Amino acid sequence: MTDVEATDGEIRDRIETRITQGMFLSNMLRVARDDGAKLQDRFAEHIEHLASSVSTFLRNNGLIRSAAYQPGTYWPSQLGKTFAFVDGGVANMNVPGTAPIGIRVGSYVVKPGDETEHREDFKVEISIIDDMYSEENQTYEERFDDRAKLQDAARIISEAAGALAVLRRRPEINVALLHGPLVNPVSPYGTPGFPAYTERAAAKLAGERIGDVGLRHFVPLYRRILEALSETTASTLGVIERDGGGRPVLEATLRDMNERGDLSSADLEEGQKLLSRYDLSDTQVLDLVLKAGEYLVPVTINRQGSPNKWPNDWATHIENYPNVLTSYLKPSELVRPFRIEAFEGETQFDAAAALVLAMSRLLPGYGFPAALDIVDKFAKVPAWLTKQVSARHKGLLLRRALATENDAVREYAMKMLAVDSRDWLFRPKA
Amino acid sequence: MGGIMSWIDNSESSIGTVVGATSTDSYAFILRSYQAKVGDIVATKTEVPHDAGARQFVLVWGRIVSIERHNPFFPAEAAQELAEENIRLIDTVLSNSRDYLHAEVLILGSTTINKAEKLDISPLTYPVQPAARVLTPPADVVEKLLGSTEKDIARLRIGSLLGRSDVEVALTASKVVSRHMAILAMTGGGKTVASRRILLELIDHSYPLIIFDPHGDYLGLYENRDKLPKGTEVKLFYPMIQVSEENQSIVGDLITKMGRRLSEAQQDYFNKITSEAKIDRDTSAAEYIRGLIERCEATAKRLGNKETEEEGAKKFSAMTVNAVKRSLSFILHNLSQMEKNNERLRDQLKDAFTFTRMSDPKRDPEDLVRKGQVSIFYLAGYDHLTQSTIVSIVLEALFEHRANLSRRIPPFLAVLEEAHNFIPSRSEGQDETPSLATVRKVITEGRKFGTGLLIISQRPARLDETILAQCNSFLVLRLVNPKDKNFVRSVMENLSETDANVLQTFGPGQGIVSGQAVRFPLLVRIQHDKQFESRRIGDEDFIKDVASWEDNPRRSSNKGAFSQPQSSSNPEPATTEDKAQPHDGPSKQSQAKSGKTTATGKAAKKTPPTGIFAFKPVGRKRQ
Repeated sequence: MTDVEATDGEIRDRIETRITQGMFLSNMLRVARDDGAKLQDRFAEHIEHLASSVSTFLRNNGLIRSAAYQPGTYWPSQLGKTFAFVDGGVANMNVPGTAPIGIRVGSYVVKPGDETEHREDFKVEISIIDDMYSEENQTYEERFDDRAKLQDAARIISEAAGALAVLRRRPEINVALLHGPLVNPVSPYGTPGFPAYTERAAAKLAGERIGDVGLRHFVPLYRRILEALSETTASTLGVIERDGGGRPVLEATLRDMNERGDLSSADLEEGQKLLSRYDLSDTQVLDLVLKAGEYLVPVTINRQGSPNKWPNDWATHIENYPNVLTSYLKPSELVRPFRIEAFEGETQFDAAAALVLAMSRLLPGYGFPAALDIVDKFAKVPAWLTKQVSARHKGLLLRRALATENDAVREYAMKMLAVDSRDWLFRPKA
Repeated sequence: MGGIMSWIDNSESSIGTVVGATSTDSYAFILRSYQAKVGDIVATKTEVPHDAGARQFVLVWGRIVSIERHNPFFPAEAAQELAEENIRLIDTVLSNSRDYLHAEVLILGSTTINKAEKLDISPLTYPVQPAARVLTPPADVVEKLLGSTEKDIARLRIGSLLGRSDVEVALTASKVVSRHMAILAMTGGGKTVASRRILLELIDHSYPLIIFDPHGDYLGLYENRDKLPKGTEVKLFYPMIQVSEENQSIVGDLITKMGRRLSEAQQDYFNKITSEAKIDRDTSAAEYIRGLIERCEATAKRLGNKETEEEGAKKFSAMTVNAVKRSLSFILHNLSQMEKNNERLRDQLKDAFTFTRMSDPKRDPEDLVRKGQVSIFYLAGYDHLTQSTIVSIVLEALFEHRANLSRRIPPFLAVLEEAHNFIPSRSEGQDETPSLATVRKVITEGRKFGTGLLIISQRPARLDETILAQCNSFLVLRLVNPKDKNFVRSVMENLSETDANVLQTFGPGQGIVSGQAVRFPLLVRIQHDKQFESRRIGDEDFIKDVASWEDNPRRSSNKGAFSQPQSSSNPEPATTEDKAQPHDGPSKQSQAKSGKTTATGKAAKKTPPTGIFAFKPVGRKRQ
């Protein structure tokens, strides 16, 4: 500990609390201009202490593993295996009424070492150009108005459904990678009024007809798909490149050790305090801790959060959502680590980590699995398609609104279709 | 749509989709993998305005001039990693199956879609429809488009489309023989193969051919004459410049140019004796020059003690006369040498080839130009100036016969190999090349009288631009020299920049044909008639030559034959015998004095005399 912390522990804590809240950021920058080196050194010292403490702890407890990168021997050894990659694209349409109506989930299946024309297979597993949530395209009557959530939920469930579809279509797949979390928190999409999917949409997603509208809601339907995914023979992983903030993995690691009796409660508290001092995320801390090719021993994370935040209507379903094994892998010294998720009970995690490392090293600058980049480009909904579908849908809605002979409806429709909120249509009326 | 145009609606004909902005000159399309190549003829159906506000569907024909290939799923940094780690792409999870192929098409024209299927092509006046399907037509349709299957029109089959060996390419014969054609390519590009192909087709039509052959490239036609159509005669001529009243000035020019530069007085004297010279029938140039030399000698004798001889107002001194005589002697010597060279070359071939002295083209043109006859003038051994004079004399005379409508000889095609020696450009500084004026005359007026020219050269930039521009058809094979390429672009009106860039990538026998002989520029592969290549004269392989070379065994065995045996102490003084044999190696004595050894590093051996003056040098080269 530094002298400052030793002598003014509480003040220091407060100061540091505010610093982490960003309150003193501009002050820090001004001071840094005059006293930059000292401030920077102090900050660096603290972070160094944090990082080296965490590193020592993790290594002493065998919580860091290493996957060797030997591409010359690794890739030829993958001959005979089949890998699948799944990503989705959503048409970014700002259309009044229900949403979304443009989703595409693509898959890229590849057999390394195969020299035949069957080496690669690109397919759009899920393609929905329709209203997923309602049978009738209504513009304003009692609709769930948080379109962003509707789009998010559709994207999340479609990608999982796409993964399930490719694994059912190609049962020989050894490893399937999704671009994004394997299991997402579902509470935000279980709020009252959140609509169920249409029968047609649900059938496309689940791969089978679901007559019960209650089971066509996001929460149970997503769970159904995830459970089916976890039961396939393939190792299914989610790979997330973005830093989502927080330290769920490191904190879960400490808690697990405490629960096993490997870490006392006092040490647990110290560790949590150290981690939270600068509010650095898992990604930021592990970026300092891990070396190239290293990854954290995966730890079980419950993605659904605290039960008191679950919507009552879906609590039972949420309680039974699968947990995920979560780890962070650092592909090289050039890039930050990214998160890998697998279903609890995955036995081939180390082999999967080696694959993810090898794929990431194919893009040494970007440091992310190369094939996910490929499927991302394949699945993306092109702007020209978005514009076409959007324009067509707008026209359809306007025609229907005009047919209602209801002035309020017509006016609303025209406003929704207006280009700009400053348009003359929005001028206050006398 | 039925009949020969049913392929338009056949989905298997579709190879891509038009993309981007289109025009009446060109369009681009996304090509399906492996469905077409550069040079392929493609078509797309589009609706265009017709008369009186109506519309009609047309087929827009084009040639693929470039294809760009890109894999959007293969980032550059992945390539770097594969290279650094020496990994094969297919061993990884990277993709190489989604190539994005962007093809550019040069529009050739459009035809109406109807069952008549005559495919009369006309310019496109309305752009191609974006997103239209691009089609690959079957071979018979492309041939129809090219006009290869038109009946009642004589065609010269030269080969196939470069990208499609199933589509034959043929030239319109009448355009070649009357409107002149040029074949241009660097050495090894396939010019002779191409010209031979055209000539073989003309032989099939019994068309008379006159071939000026500086190197014997066409002797194979004689060698394999039994494979030619019945009734075809191939005659080999060796040139003999004969002086007549009509060509006296041409010969006079030759003499002037071959000789040393004459002063004004010398030139005057020369003009005097040439104007006085009597020319008999069958006077060869050598005899003519000897006659002039005799005149000089006679004048010199007459001068005797006089300082000058007067002739009218002119005075010629002995010095002037002797200078002219020396020049003429020099010319005679050179001419004789060239005639001997030519004779020696013919001698080497006499077991397989029969050469006939060239007839006087003025008096006996029928000997040279006859229906079904190929006349090859073997010019080897003569320098460029003399070759040019020969060509000038022959062409001038034959052209005159045609121009006078004497009906003594039929129309003919003259082939000028190494044409840059006969029609050099002004920049070569050889404006006075005798054949330049003659060829200019023939090429500008030849179409009226049926005297066509086939000009062949590996250095287009050295050709006279005016003459070359008079050629209405071109076959350009491989060219890499930038000057040549630029020159060709300047004389060929419809050679695009894309086509010019492809010239250097052609392999032997590949090229672009354009002009009146074809409907539009085409990339072609020339048919190679190997059976008409000469087994005696061809591409020499000098490496093999040296490998099989045998030195004259007798020469080496006779080395030092007359050297005195050497004692171990003092060498004998040199004798006259040591000095008597300049062609042999150094004598033993002189070797001992100089300390030199033979070429093999050994001291010269003493060999017994074996009648060395009785033997003749044996052939050193395996024939």
